[in-house]
Amino acid sequence: MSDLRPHTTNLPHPVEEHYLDLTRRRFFSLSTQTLAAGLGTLALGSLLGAKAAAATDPSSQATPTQPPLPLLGPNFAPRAKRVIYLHMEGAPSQLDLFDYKPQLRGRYGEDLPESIRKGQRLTTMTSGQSKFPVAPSLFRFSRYANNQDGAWVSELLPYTAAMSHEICYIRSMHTEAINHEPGITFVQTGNQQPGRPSFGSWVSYGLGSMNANLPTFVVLITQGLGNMQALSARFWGSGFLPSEHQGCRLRSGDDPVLFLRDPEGITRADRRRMLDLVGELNHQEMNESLDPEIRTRIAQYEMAYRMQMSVPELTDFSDEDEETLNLYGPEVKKPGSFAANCLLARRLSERGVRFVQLYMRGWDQHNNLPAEMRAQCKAVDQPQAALLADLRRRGMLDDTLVIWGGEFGRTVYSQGVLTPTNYGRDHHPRCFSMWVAGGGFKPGITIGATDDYSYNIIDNPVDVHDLHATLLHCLGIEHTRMIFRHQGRDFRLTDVFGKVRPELII
Amino acid sequence: MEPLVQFIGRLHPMLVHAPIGILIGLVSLEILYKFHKQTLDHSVRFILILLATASSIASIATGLIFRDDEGYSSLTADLHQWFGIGLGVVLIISCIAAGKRKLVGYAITLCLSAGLITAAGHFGASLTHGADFLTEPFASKKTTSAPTPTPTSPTTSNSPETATHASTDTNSTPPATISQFELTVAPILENHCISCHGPTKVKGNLRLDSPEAMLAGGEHGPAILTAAPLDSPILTRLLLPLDDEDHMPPDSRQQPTDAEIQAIRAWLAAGGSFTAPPPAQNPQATPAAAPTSSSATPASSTPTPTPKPAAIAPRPKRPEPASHPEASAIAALRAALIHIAPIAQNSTLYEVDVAAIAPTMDDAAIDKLLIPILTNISDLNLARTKIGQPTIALTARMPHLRKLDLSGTPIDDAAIAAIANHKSLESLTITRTSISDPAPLLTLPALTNLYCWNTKLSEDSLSTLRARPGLTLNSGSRPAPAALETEPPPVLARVGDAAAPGPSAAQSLKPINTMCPVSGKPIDASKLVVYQGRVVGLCCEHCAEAFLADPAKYADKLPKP
Repeated sequence: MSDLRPHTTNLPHPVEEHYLDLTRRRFFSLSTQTLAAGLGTLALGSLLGAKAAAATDPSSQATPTQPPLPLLGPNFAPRAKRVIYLHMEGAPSQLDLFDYKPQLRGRYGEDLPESIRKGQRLTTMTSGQSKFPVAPSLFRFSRYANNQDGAWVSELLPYTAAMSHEICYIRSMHTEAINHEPGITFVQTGNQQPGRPSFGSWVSYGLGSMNANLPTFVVLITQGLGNMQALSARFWGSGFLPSEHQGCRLRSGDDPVLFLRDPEGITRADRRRMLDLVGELNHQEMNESLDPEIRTRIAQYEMAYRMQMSVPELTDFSDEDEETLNLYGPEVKKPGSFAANCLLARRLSERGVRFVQLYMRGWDQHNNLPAEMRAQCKAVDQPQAALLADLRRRGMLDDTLVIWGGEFGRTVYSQGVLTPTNYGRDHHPRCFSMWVAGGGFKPGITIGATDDYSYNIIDNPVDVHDLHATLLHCLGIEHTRMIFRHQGRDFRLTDVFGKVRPELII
Repeated sequence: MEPLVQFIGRLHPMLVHAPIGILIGLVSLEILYKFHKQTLDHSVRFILILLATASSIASIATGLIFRDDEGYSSLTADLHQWFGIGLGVVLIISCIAAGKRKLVGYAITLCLSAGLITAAGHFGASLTHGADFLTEPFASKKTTSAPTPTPTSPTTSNSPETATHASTDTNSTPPATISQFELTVAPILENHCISCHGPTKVKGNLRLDSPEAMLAGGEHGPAILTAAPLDSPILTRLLLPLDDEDHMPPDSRQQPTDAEIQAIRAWLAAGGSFTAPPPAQNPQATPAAAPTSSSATPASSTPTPTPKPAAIAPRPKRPEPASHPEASAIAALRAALIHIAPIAQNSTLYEVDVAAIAPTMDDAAIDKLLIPILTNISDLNLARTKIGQPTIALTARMPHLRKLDLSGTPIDDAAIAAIANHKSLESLTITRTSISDPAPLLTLPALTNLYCWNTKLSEDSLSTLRARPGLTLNSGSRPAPAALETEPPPVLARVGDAAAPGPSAAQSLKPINTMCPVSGKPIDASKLVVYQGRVVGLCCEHCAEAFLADPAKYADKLPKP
């Protein structure tokens, strides 16, 4: 691996860099303006494109709709080219889905032994409880064939369970955070503090676009049926990376992108002329101030212009056959449903979108867990299984990473009153379950184990940084080499942590 | 041992330095005075030799107590002891000689004592720091290149890898001759126990450095109980609270990690044999086992640690074309909004994806762009384009083509025939096409993945393709697999006499009644409660709640035991 280059090499001193940039930009600005004057009719857009290309790859020429080039591409030949990340916001209970604990069946209502809890911190939502009664899952588990001796999955996810032969279950995830905001920020950006780039932004930055007409990183959100927590736009923000790498959220309603159509009386040519003019002004300002955000703004205007054409075709499901629509379940035609978003995710991946981030909200079952989990699982089960099956039969699962999981796990003890048919579970960062399918992860296996109470990990713990490192590895990126220097310090998705876990990947 | 006595014993390491210092001082003074042809004042000489003698006697006394307390039992300890005692005897003689002003006797014994204290000090230091303490920095330089078989460092709680370190370090499955004990337990004992229960120290008269010694035990009996391995003190003492005085290792020492404790438990649970081979690598714990003990802490299921590959399997190096495509050819593709990029840094193989403009691309449009880069193409995505036979024919000139996606294109049997005999193609996607002839697909020697969902290939053709060795075929027709087994319906709750022996959850739960005692309706097999040790079926959750609220009220509606 010694011949691999890091993503940034020998960065100059910031001041030097600024002057270098200044000179380079002046030069290109001058030469392109001369060129434009000479040719007369050449649209400014093409000059912008040429310049953007020249900045990254001096050998190439380009046109107005030139895509941003990947900065360096994968360090080594990747298994996966795309990612679909199904984030279950609110943290689903591992005890009621994937972490089968038959040992708890006889322990209903017993107090959680101190030898298990070991005085570890709890959230203030349950730290005041006088008792911590063990709540075994109300749901029956079944064993489904995989490439080992079977995976035990709860009755809530029958469709997903039937895809176990494609899935790598990780029952030994653990995280540092105990509340939603820092928890989601951690799994999405590799750090609990806000301000770092999202996983999708890093992938966009490192690998670039495969489809110039669509954003590289797309965000889709489904409203939950259970207790919902806030979902901040910064979860898909680009942090200190150039803003064109931030996630582009498609709306959940009938119109995924508003105002796509030009107003009446405005033709596509008018729009082009307007953009060229605005672009020229922006470009002047960029040459004055050298603000990279203006470059991003120009790029985003161009992207919006192209999306006017690409999005209607993308979101029109009429070319999907009936059998495929049925595969995703009855809600597929309801815009913004998890089923519709899974199908949309497949269509985005098919069209070369690098990173699709889905959020399913409403997994925060502090109380009334059985009823809420039934509804949440019903909403996601068939669509997510269909997504796997559909990617598989289209030959796309081999190079698409599908990631499923929340930000932490939930407690074995009941929050609030435990009754035979109802209970709640509090946040639990010490262990939780996630799964990954396709993209070079080992299919049909289960990794890791927790103790009898699903409280502590007793085998093969996998932390969030390790998962990030391993996912990046599948994408051909050496996680220690994807670096961005910001405010004098080198940053990585995995910061100074993370190990690629060979047991997870082919 | 009395704490006070123990305390006095522990003064030994401090006291021993007094005679050393005093003797060095005295000998130096004698030499200095001799050198200047003067005579040391008698009172100075006497007070110093007296102090040296007194402090060495105190050192000997405390040393004997300390040895007993710490359980030192080695040749080094013996030598240290006898040299020390010898020193004491010689110093007493020297003291008498000095007192009687017999200077010859005094000089001889003083020299002798200097030699003895050097020897005693050397062996004492060897006991505390190890025999090779001083030479270690030189020796370690030479040996750092050799891998050490013992764990490199104590692991933190989030990486319990030490339990299997032997297998990860050696990068292979252990040979059959290594027992589970040697593989998983011995390194832990080596790390945490042997320093006090081994060849140099034998605290509590217990040694843990050989199977015989462990079975023989010490003051408090054997460390391993062959009759009930899980009750062996070697495990129970580990599990005691840290502040319990019987807890081992002592709380001042580094504690084993949870994973290490689990490894010892797993070994004892397997019978505690010193010779049995490690269990087969089977990462799935049997979840059917129900807890058997009713204590607050059930015996934890001890999963076999997941087998861990030591490193990422290297992927075979692919042959690559000698040079990159012309920059102008790449620029032309990008100008047409076609994605083209090297598959990796430093690779001359390229991936090409026309997804952005797929519906507008036909043979004429794509071919003129592809022709300049044919030899560099590795992955080619032409899905949803309008291409046909001419583009397929181009694949014959793509010697490195590995992956081709033709999904949703108008290609037919005549067009796909042009792909026949392609030497390097590994993955081919022809979903949603009208291809019905398997013949060209059977001529692809390197093909490992064929995606042919929604084609016109007949069942017979699919079977023919499936029969081709090395080919994984996906025609999208996989029926959803049913569960292999389902656990019995979980019991909602247990009420009544807690001591009554209830049925184990993992066993078949057969309710004693057929009609719900609350509503009188037929029971639902998934709504079960255990009452007085018997399984009672109910018809719905509401009745279950009602029954559990006051089971005695409905008890007479149940069949008599």
